[in-house]
Amino acid sequence: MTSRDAILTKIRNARSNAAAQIKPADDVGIHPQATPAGDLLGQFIELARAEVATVDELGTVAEVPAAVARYMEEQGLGNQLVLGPDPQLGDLDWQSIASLKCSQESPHPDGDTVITACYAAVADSGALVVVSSPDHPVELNFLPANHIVVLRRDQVLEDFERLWTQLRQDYAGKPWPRCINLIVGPSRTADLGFPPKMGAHGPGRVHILVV
Amino acid sequence: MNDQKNPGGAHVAVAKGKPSVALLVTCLVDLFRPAVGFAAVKLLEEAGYEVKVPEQGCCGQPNYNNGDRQGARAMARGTIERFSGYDYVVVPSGSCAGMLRIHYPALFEPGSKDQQQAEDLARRTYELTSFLYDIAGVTEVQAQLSATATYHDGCAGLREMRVRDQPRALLASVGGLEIAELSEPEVCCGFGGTFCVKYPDVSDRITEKKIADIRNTGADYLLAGDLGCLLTIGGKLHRDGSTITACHVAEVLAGMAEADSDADD
Amino acid sequence: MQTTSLKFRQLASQALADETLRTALGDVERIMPVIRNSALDQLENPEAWFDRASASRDRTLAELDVYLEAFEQKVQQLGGHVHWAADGTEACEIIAGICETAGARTVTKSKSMVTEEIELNAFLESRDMTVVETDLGEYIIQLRGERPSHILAPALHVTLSEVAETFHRHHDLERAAPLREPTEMLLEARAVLRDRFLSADVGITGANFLVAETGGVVIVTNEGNADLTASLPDTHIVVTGIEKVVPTLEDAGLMLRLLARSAAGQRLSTYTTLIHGPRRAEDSSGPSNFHVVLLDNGRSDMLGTQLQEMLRCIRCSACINHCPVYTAVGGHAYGSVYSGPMGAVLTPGLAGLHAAAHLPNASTFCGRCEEVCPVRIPIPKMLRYWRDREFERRMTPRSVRYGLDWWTHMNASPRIYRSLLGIAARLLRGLSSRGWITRLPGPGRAWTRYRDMPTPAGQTFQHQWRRTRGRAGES
Repeated sequence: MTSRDAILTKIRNARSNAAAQIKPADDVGIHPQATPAGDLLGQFIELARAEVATVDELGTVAEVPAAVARYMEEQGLGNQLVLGPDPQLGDLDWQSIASLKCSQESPHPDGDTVITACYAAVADSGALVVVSSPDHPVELNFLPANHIVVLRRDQVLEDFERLWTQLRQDYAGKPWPRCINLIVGPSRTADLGFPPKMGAHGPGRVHILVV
Repeated sequence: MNDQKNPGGAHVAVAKGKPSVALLVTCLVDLFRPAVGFAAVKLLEEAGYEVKVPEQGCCGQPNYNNGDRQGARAMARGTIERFSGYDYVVVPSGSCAGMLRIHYPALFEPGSKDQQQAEDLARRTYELTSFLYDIAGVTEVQAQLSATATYHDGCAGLREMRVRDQPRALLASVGGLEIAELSEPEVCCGFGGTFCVKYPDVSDRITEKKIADIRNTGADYLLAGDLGCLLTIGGKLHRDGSTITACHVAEVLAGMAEADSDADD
Repeated sequence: MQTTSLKFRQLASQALADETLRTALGDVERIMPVIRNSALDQLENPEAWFDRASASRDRTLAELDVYLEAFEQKVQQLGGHVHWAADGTEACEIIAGICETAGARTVTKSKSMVTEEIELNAFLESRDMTVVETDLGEYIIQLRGERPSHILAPALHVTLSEVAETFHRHHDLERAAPLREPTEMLLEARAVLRDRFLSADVGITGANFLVAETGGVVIVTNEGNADLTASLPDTHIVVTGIEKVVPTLEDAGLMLRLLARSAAGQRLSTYTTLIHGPRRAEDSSGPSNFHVVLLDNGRSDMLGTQLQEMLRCIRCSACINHCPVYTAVGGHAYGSVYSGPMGAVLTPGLAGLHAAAHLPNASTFCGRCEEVCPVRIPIPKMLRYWRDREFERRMTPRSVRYGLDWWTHMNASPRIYRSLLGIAARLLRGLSSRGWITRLPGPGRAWTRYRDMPTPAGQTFQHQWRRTRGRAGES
């Protein structure tokens, strides 16, 4: 008998109930938290800031390059910006910002600033949601020192439950995205005492541009 | 209210028709601090109950907590038998009350006669202060104590018997008494029954932290509803040369906190 | 699973004498309950969330085979491999085999208590692989050759100056200026580990949850090390216990809310990642090989027994942070990778009761562990279960067994009990001076080593009652 069979047999012997099946998600008795349906964006921004992300509210996506340049200058992050392969961002008018040197290569192990789009944001936890794809390799979220994320106002969801529902709809009939990352502020560690220290292995800065 | 004599006094006549309360006095009170038992009797009688003290022994908790189910069952059967027939069973200890209320039913085969009797006892069993406040409807006492006291929540009373607000509400009515809360009233004192002698140094460290918390309140009295906690904390306070007095909440509520506890009668 | 739990008494005494440990544990005790409470207060009615979470876990455990098979099937559909390991040795063999097939020389790891449980690092090192822990705390103790002292904060017991000294010794910093600030130490570790991440052949992570609905592996960190471990090497191996499966994303969301709050007072951990299989044809990066190793190692033996509820555990460490014994002696005293209340239940289950005999006894039964558990595990009840087994198997010390037996006999008749208490009162009064006893003989010695004992105040209550209130008060 393989270990697989042995383990499953032990489990089956231990349980008394008849064969079960995975219940549909609406049967799990979980009721989404009553999130104030009002100002989702406001709630998200408040929680993201509480988790040490910075947020800049812009008008249209066209304002992104100038806002990036401004942020990088303020923070003293140099002029190297990695765009990644995402055409949504690559197609913006970066040429007009002479001070920025943009590249689409993968980030250098250290020192780089990366800008990416995102899939959604979750208001009740202050989390950005990014999903991996050929346009958005997962390491873009983790290797750079600084991560700038463009979030559309209409991407903010109330809670996890709305996120799962939307993912199920968007990926119906398709494989799930290889990585779904929920990101709440910069990387941190509590292994060097309280309070946690920012900038462990992942980005030490997370800057959100709301468009 | 019943015409109550002092606890050491002579026979108290009880009117017919009063609900009966059997007092489970607990081994520690029985041996170390009988005044707590008399304080409980006084409070219960003043609240209008006919108090009885059935012949009794240990509730079996030491056996139960050390894995000796058979011994615990034997003692539980004895207690169940001796405490049958009373309207209520009241215990001046959250820990022993929890044994009767929570653990006795778990000792016996579900559905068995023993278990039914254990359930019956469990339903009638109360910790003293919660009985006075929740069941007897006592909201104030006549006692006086001009002092500052702090209150430690014994773990079993707090978590098994849901005793938290009742003793505080009653203590608030004691004339002259100021309550200074601990910063961590719900953290264990280190007693843990036989734990304190099985792992004395670990127990001592836990008590040490509790005492630091007590000292920070500036209280003259440490109050609790369990004599186990009081012996543990009080014993260490005395070893440390502290003047803080460890006292059972029943003694304060009955106005007996300053009585000479060494007197025979 | 190796333990040194039989030396609990001795290890605890050493720990009690360690002043730096005391400071670290004082921080846990002071800070963790406060931040946990405030995070849980963000949820309306946290107790209702605990109810839902424990119900979800129970539902899963009742049908564990169904969810595991569904998870396996989904992972396979995504192009991943699922392995089943009956015990630690089999898991180590499977993992080493995957690493060898991948030609691995360097393996990065994110913190995984299951890999500590199966002692994976030593096994891979014996197969000539270099294993690098990437969680900062785990990395620190790996350099120091120590075991974790807390399931979430493995280097809790290490002071900042010891961290600096450790990096100095192991990072070739001999001539450099000493590291003083935590941020300097963080940058130093980040720089060294960054190279390791980029050069690793295989990345090994644990899993916080496995989602049966999607075949997803949920991994939670604050540092981001698990994501770099999982995404940079060409092979990713997930090692986790069979109990970690949850039915749907809703169940996962429920657990994640409670895990982050209970563990670290966070709404959500900084990084929560759901991984579905290996890289796709169209992806430019990500591991080509994706393996999940499902470990039993005694877990299925707990199913259907009084220990089943322990398998609800989501490893949040709230019980540990709130335990008066853990915060007195720290994790190493328990002699097991799992410490505190959850460790005291789990260790006998995984390593055998004989290897962990002290642990179920090293509890005051204060019940705070059960009170703070987000999945409502009745930990004291389970510690009693182990104490019952010890008593049955005559593992309880003979003196204790005889003592309990004697006590039962003394209680067989209230009359005997009353006379016994009367004798005890007289004996104790004989040892007394000014109302207190400062030295007791026999088993009482353990009491008077640290505390005094008040002299029994006169005759026993029952004696006085019978004398003063006569038989009228008796039934």
